[in-house]
Amino acid sequence: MILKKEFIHIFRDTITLALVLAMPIALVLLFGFTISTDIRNAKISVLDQSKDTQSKTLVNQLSASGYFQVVSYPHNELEIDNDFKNKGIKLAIIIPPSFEGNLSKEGSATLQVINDVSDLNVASILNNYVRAVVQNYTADYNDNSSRGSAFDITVKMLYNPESNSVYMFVPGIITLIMVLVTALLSSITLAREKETGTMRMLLITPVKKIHIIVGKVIPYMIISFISTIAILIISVTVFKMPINGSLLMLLFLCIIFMLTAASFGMLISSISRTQVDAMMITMMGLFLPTVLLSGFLFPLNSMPMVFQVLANIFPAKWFILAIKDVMIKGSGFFDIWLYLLILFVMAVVFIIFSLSRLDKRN
Amino acid sequence: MRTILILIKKEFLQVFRNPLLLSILVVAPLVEFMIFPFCADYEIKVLNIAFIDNDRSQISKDIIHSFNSSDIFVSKGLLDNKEEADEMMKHDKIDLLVEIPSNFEDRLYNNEHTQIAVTANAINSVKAGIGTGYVQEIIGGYMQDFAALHTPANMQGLMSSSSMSMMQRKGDRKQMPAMPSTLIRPNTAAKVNISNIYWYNEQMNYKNLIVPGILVILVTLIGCYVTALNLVREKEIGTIEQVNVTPIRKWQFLLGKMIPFWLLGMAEFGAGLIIMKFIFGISVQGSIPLLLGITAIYLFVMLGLGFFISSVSENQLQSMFIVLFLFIVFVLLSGVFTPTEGMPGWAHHINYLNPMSFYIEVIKKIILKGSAFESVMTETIVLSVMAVIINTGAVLSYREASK
Repeated sequence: MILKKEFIHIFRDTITLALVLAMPIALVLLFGFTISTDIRNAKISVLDQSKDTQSKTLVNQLSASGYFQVVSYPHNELEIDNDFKNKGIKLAIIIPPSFEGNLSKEGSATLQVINDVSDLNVASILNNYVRAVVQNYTADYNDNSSRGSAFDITVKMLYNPESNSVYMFVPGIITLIMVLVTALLSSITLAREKETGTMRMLLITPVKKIHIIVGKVIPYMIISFISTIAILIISVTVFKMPINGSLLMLLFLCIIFMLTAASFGMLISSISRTQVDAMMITMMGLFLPTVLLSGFLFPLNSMPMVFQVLANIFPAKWFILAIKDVMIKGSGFFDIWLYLLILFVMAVVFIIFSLSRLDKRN
Repeated sequence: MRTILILIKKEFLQVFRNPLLLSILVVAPLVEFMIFPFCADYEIKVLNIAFIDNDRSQISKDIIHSFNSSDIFVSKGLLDNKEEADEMMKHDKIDLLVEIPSNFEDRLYNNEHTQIAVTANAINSVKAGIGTGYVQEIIGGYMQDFAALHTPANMQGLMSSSSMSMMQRKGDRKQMPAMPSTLIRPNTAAKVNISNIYWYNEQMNYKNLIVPGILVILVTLIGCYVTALNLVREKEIGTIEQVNVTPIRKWQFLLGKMIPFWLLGMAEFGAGLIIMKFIFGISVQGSIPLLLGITAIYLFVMLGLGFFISSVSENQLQSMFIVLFLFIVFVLLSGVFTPTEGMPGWAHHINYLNPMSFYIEVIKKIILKGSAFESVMTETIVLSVMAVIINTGAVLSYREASK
């Protein structure tokens, strides 16, 4: 009954339905293409004090890498400062005098890399690129001058051989969108009944409270599930995310997570009186924590201990761990059962709590 | 004027009557502002590493030992076999695995080719890149020191280079084994060291960027969200009809609704600046009145946007989803969390319509670099134009809707 009523509500408001279904898809497409910590063609300056064959080779390798674009060749540090301020360079490299000579005679030379650390994140990403290019350069140099040592180091990138940053961001974006859409929808629906006063009417009917809640949430879970499937299809076809685990496992995981998100939404609506309240709590309580504390953008184990502990109470962290395992590592049920259990227990706790709040109202 | 004042009073009454909303609007953003900058740190500080030592020689032990001197690596110990390592990597217990082959030491002394295998969990490609880079540096540094010890001519070069190198810590050289000099020495590979110099933020305070960024997000949330729901709510519960039959002009009504939230946003921003100074130690380098002035304009853009959405949508659910969509787009494209440098060209074009990205630019320039009005003039003009357009649009569409 309640289920039917809710479906009628939903289908009567076609604009909202269209928004709810189209929005996640638009967001995933937009961010799959834009959110990345890869930087291409960063502008740099090179102050080459030796101007010999080796220094020129190095500069060529820097621009050939695709990471950098050498926009100016300053003559002193003052000009470098000027480049930072007016030419928008992100990094400057100083090659010392007699670079080639030092390399061949002493076996080592030192580059100076000047970073603009007013944006530390960009600086540290670019530094890693410089390091990689210089490492390649050194390896080439050693090969050509046959100074190569007897040993070398092979590097294997497990699970993501091409070091594709999509592997990191797409699961995060899926999570962010799923949690927001599901939690928002379900938190609003109860708050709306409260605000317009129809909640009282529902409560005096002989329908059980649990049925009201379940009946109200299921339709929105179905809508979220449809958009989740759409998001998954986009991730696989457009962003080439693999699904190495079983598809059933993945869908099951998504359903459990939606249940958790929806019950979190119920919890919010049970403590709020109006839709504005419900929405603000969802935004404050879910958006920033999901972005910041889920390990989606920022490495969790670099955070102060308090936040590593705090992160555990947000469902998003567990879902991201599980979805990455299933999609990328191909983990099965026995690898992720703990995450599933945690998400499920969270859902149960949220539902019990919101039921008890509903009781108190009467 | 009196009409507007009365409307403002009404709006404030509504906010203060709802203690829950008040606490969400005032307390929650400030608390989050105090907490979240501590989390937003891209720097990889911990890398869990494990080793498989098939050689169990002095050199292999020393190589493994040399990882102890680095702060970033947390050793998960020596593993027996590859299966154990795979299992640990699958469960995210380790990020990196270093495998030293058998007969490593013998082959090294006999100048035969041998290789160390490094495996990284590359789901987080940035982390894997940094991790393998550090591993190569540490092992490479060790090998160079080792080789140099057997090549007296190279001692000089080593001394000067290792004092410059970032990753090569002082401890490395102490742990070098005293090898009998009669052994055959391996060839020396040339090495290019990188010495990093940091400009414009000598303390390397990553919070400098993220703190103002989170402040902007919170101010936007208040500005745009509450207003977007405010008007449509009156529509939904029918009180808007009552307002429409009073002699209040449309723009007066909108202004009366905007000013309270504008004041709230400004107060929040002020409180945010104080928190920024006393908790995060970031003081505004440029002029504070200028900063407040531009913030005032920015808030009008956001409030106007909220009202525009509010007047075109039929119910709160609709306007909420539109705002949510715009909000996520604004935040993630503005470059607060991820560098805009990496985005494709069309994303930069979208950003020309994103008020938040202009505002973030202003904030960065005034708060961090102490820029004067001339360097933020473009942004100020753009924001002002946006404010005029969006507010005109809001009044017009509201007039249309209430006909």
